[in-house]
Amino acid sequence: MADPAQIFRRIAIAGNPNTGKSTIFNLLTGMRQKVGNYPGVTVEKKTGRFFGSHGEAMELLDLPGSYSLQVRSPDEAVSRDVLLGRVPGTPRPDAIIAVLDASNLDRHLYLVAQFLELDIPVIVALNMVDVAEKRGLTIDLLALKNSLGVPVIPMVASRGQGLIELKQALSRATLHVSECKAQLPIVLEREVAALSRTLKCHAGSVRPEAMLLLSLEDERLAAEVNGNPTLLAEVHAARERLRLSGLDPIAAPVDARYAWVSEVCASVVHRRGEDAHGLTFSDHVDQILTHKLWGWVAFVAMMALMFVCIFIVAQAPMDWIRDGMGALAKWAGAHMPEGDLRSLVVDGVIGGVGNVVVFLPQILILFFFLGLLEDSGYMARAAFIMDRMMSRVGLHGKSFVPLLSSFACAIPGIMATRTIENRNDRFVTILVAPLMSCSARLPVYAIMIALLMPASGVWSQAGVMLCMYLLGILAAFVMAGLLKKTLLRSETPMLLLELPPYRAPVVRGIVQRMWERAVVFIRRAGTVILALSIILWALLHYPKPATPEPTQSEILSHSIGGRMGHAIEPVIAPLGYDWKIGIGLVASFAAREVFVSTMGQIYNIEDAKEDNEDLRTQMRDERRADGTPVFTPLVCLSIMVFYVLAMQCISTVAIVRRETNSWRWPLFQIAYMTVLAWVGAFVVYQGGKLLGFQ
Amino acid sequence: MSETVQQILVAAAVVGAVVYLALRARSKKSGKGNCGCGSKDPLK
Repeated sequence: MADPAQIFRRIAIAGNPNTGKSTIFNLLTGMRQKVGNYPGVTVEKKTGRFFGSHGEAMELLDLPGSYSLQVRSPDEAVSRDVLLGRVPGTPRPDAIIAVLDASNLDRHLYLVAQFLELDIPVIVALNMVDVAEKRGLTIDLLALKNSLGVPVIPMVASRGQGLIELKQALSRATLHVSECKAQLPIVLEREVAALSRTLKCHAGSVRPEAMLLLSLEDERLAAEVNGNPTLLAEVHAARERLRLSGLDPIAAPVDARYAWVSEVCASVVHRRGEDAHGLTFSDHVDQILTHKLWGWVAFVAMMALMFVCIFIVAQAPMDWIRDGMGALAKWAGAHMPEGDLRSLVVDGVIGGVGNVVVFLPQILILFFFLGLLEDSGYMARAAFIMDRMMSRVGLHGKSFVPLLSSFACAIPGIMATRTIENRNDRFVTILVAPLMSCSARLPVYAIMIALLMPASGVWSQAGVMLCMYLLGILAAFVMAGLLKKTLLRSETPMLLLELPPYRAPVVRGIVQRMWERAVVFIRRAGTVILALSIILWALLHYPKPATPEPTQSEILSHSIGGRMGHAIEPVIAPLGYDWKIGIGLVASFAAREVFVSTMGQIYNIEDAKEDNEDLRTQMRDERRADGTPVFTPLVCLSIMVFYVLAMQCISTVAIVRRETNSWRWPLFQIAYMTVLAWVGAFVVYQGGKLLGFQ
Repeated sequence: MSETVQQILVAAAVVGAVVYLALRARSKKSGKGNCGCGSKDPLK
């Protein structure tokens, strides 16, 4: 058996986006990288280890998907740089697993043609052979192997099929560099060889570097050879010689590779089983789901169904958690002596954390549905129908994945903007991503909807929730349009979107992600939310008024939190909010869900009852000085609109600072979103009052 | 439990919470932390 501490082979997994690279990475390493049935899920390299068939340790690099080594975005640059051995501290891989989608072989072989030019052994993982089969494609594996000159392993990675064969191929004592390559014009080969000699003094792979330099566009070339005028002059001279001999240095290698790809595909791919119009099952479904009108109807219907399920299915477990927290608070209250410590434990810790934990079932159901939609391939269709609207406001087509990820949390969404090559387009997406309703807003929406329409059915409640999500999308598009026309002008490139075939979602994967999400949520509740709740409790109790035996209202009003609420009351009064809601707004700047725990704490202090009433009941019973209810339907709507549009997330601020490498943009983002939220809430509240609503 | 002991415990809890959040913010700045949504900093 080989020594497990010694790395036998370093292998990179590379290929076009959405071919299942991360699924294979997870299968081999046992890790849990995020996977999804849409392009651009992986935006950075990930490293893992596994043991080959004979126990030899191997290091595996999961690279972001790319269409070509002529990179256009930062994530594609990661793949190219690793494969060329340019990344300090990351040795050039000993082999590449080229992951191909068997149902799109003609498109995916182009990148393989480039891999074969890198002079690294390649193993082809021909993934999704089941999908190709269903689409009526028969692939002659032997012919493919002979054409490429490398091992070809048919796989269905989502079911683990082909994994053993892949491991066996990777464990071979020696892997050979293929002799089969796209035939480049002789003049070009000569120039590549000449340039390679110049590059000899450089580390890394010389021939592929020379090939890349010759075929780069002028701007990118200048960036690549920055600081080396001799090399730049030589590349220009070589290009001039190529042009004189009638060859376009950029187009010639591309044409040669495509000609090779066509030749290979013609000999290995055989079609059968399409219907009379040449349409597959996915094509038929897409006729509805990407239709100008029906596409939107289907999108809205699916979202509405998701929210209805969130309300119906989550109700019982939410009640259990609420009852459990109530019982715990009662028990703690009964077993502790009266005083500040009991108040801290019962109101601060159990009340604060409990009111957030209650929403765990709803958040998990949201993630279950998002997982279903992602894995099935529907999200790419949603991107397609949204693209019409996005391109109208000038948003880059690639912005969809970051915006989509922001439904879960803005932070991975902002990270995913790295797939956008243009700086201005990327910054526009970063600036509008937090407008998409993340899962932390769900508790705020849910409690406000419960107050707004206590007696209404789940369909009406789901309808309001859907409207909040749509408002977020609309606000993001409008703001993107404004930013593109003012601060961050740039041309809008066309979106070339690959619609992956529909696949049956892997329930195990979705459940695994839900579990991970639950762990993250509970850990967050037990750490950050707990710490914030304790601090908030102190802010709502200290300093104590000097009067002997003050009432609970006096304590709250005299506290630092109470004073903060009073201080901002003039600003928020036009929105219909009193000073207690103001405390919630200020406290929830750290994290949106803290609003719910803050309200829980405030009303627990005020009520100071032993029975720990449900927060919804406490809020519904809350009255102003004149006896009118605080949480009228208009106030509830106004609060929801405020939370749709406000930044209110310190972690997002931190990540925007890091991704934009400046404080200017996060500060601008806080400012514009706060103003937008205030104006939105003002319009809802004052407009509603003018129209005669309460 | 005397009121003084209660006050000490409350103060310890509040200080602990502040220190925890401060340390967490510092570790996030150095890239070791976690954003809270489960996504690790990709730059590190």
